[in-house]
Parts: sequence; structure tokens; C-alpha cells
Amino acid sequence: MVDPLITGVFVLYLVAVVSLGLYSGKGLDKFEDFSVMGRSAVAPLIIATLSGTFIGAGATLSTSGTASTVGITAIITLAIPWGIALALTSYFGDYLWEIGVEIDAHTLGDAAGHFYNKSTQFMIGILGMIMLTPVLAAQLAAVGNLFSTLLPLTYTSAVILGGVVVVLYSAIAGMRGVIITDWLQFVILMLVIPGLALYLTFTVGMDTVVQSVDSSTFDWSGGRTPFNLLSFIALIGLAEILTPYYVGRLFSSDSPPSKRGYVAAFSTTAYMICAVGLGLIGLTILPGAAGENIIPQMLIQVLPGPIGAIGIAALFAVIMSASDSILNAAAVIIVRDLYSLFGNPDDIDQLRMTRITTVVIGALAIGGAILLPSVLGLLELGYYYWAPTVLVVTIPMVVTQRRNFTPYAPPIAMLGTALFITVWFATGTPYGLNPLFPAFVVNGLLLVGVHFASKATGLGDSSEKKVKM
Amino acid sequence: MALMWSVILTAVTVVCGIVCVSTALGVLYLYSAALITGDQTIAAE
Repeated sequence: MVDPLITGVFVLYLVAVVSLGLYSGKGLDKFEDFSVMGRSAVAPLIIATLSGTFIGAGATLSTSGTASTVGITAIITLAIPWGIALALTSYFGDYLWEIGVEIDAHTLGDAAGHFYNKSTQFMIGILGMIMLTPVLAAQLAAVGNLFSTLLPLTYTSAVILGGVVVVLYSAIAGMRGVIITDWLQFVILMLVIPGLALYLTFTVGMDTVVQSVDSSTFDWSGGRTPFNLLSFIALIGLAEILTPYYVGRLFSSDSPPSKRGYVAAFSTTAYMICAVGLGLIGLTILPGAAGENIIPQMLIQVLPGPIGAIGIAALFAVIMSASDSILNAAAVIIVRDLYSLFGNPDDIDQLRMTRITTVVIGALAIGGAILLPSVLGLLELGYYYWAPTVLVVTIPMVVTQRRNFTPYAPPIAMLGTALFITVWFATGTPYGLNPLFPAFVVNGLLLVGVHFASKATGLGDSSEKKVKM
Repeated sequence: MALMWSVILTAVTVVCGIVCVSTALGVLYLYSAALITGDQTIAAE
């Protein structure tokens, strides 16, 4: 059942986001403005964009859906580890930001290219793409599912509409447009979803919730052993550290971003706990409802028309603020870490190429979400390639701000680890174990092994590249 | 037991809700002031 009020509010919201995005792109003629907002983003923008990027369909719809099926353990397995990941990303953010300013880095690959070599930068670029593609496709599929349920649109036309809007302001205004629209979207989603949780806590009452749900809902562990619980927290926490879409935001800050990141991490965790609360309340007031539709259903059925419609606009904000960030990160990575390595493009060329790349990736993602939805499940495996391959090399480099291994070690170790993960998946995930932890160990061993082997054979470059030269 | 869970859930949701709403209002105020006055230094404070 499509409500004309929801359609009207949605159209207004879309016009506001696109206008703000396009307006912010005025006079944009430098690549640095497009990729990292000219390193000029002030505190409220960085808080909003870090949190807005983090809060996608997963943090909102999946968290409440998970809470409605497994109970409050969702706080331990989702809200807290995601907060830890954002806090750790913020902790490394100051070191990374300093490197960005010193060597004009736009991506993590840029920094690695400076300290190591082009092969390392190329590998990080490829691994970044392997990680970003599934996340973008999943977000666009979520756009299609949500829009087609709530608006007079089919799945296909919903994916096209959502995708085209995001591509439009991302291609014209780049990171500047993405960050400023994230600001608006963050305010809407942070007011509406937690506001709904507060409203229902006082109107429905948690005592009603406690009395009506099964007692297993209040099992903190969710039936997991402590070891299993800890490894689950570490898995989510590690997989999201310093991912390309956060790195672009850290570089965009006008001063060291860690404190801004901690505020974002804190408010993001609070937001996800509100989503858990909504999942539990949904179980009580919408009998039979469970899963990802629980928040949209509550917005439509429980709230008065106009407020519910604004809530639905907040859900669009949730998904679009995550998709635009991923799209921008993917385009900048392709140009900086892959295209720029072959030849020496000037500023105008890089800006033009990033805009074209944004449109091309956007079109491919829209096409993929429409034509190949069955492939999305397979692509999601790509998410696990980022952390174990890239972080083992880059975190020591970022913290020490120098090269830690011979230049031969990172590309070989990253390639070896990526192959290891592929074989792990191809053999059907042995012992049902996620490849993240074993891959970290394999990468560490390969790095140290190649480092000492290349030194012993005289291939190692003993000169150290430091950030301040 | 039921009363304890009811109090815990209410307290946690209320605290988290207030954290989110106040962050949103702070972020809205700081940057909209900068947009209106055209003074980026306001937002940096």
C-alpha cells in the first residue's frame, strides 16, 4: 500500500539532498576538492559524515531485524563492535591525517605508495575495489527493496532512481557534495530513528516489552560461548577498520580528526542501541513482525502520517549517505591508486577521470543490482579481503610514519594473503571458520618471511622513508 | 527480574536516544550557523 504522503515527503527530501549536493559543487575545479574536500571539513561535518557513512542499511534495518529475532545480544554483536571499529579508525586517523597533509595523500594506497612502491599502492587499490564493490551493490539493492516497498516504484525503477540521484551529486560535487549531504542526512536520521525509540519507550513502555517477549530475548550471549562471542566482536571490529570510505573522510578533516571520530563512534553506537530497542518494541506492537521490515512497518503503522513519512525519508537518508560515500571512495581509488600509476596525469585530468569513473561505477553498480542480484551473495565475500591483506602492512606504517619492511614484502604478502583467502572460500570455509583470523597470521608470516629473505639476499632497501623529509 | 530488565532497557534507550538527538542538534546548529554567516571558523569551534 503506497501512501501519497510518503511519496510527497520523499520527493521533497530528494529535492533537498540534490539541491544541497549540487550547490556545494559550485566552483569545484581542483582534484583535491573533489577527493578530500580540499582538507577543509570542519568538526560538525566530519562527525556527521563518519557516522552517516557508518550507519547504512546494515546498522539500521539489519540491527533492528537481528534484535527482533535474537534479542539484546545484538548490542554485543553489532552495536559495540561497530563502535569499536569506528573508534579504532579514529585513533589511527590522526597519524593518517598527518601523513595526508605532509605528502598530499588522498587514499591509503597513496600513503603506501610513498613509503613503499607502486606495486604496493596498486595492490591496495585492487583490494579496495574488491571490498567496495559488494558494499555498494548491497546498498543499492537495499535502496531497491526499500523504495519499491514504500513508493509507487518497481525494484528496477527504484534502483535506477536512487542510483542516479547518488551518482548525480557525487559526480558533480565529489567529496564536497557527499560530505555536505551527509550532514543533512545525519541530522535527519539521528533525530528520527532515536526519536522514535524515545517516543515508543514512553508510550508503549519497556515493561510491556519485557512481559510480552520470550525470556531468551534477554540472553546477553545469544547462546554463544564467550570465545565465540569475542571472536565475533573482533571479526566485525577488524573488518571495518580504516576502510577506504573512512580514510577519505579522515583526509578531508581540517585538523586532526580523532576526537571528531570518537564523537561519531559514540553516537553511532548509541544509534545502533536505539535500533535494537526499536527491534524489541516492534516485536511487541507488531505481532508476527520480525526481520528487516520492522522499522519501516512501525513508521507507517504506529506514527501519525506526516511524522511517519519523515521517518521513511530518514531511512532513505540512511542508505543514500552510505552509498554516496562508497561510490566516491571507489572512484578516487581507481584514479589515484590505479590510473595515476600509469603515466602522470595532471590535476585537471585526475578530476575529469574521477568524475567519469564515478558515473561508470555508478552505472555498473545499478546494472549489477538489477541484472545480477544472485551474484550479490558471492560478492559479499569480497568484504573480508580488506582487513587481513591491507591492515597488517598499513597500520604499522601509519603509526610509525615510516617504512617497516623492505619494499618487496608488502605486495608479495598481500597477494599471497588474497590467494589464501580465495582458496579458503573455494574449499568451503574449512571448520566453518571465517578466513579473517587465519589470513592475518598468513599475512604476518609472509611479510616477515619476505622481509628477511630479501634482506639476506641483498635485495632489501635499507633506506627509510619518513613522512617528514 | 522483569522489573530489572524493564528499568535497564528504558534507561539504556533513553540515554542513547538523548545522546543521538543532542549530537544531531549540535551538528545541525554548528554547521548551519557557519553556512548562514559564511564563517567556517564558527563550525570549527
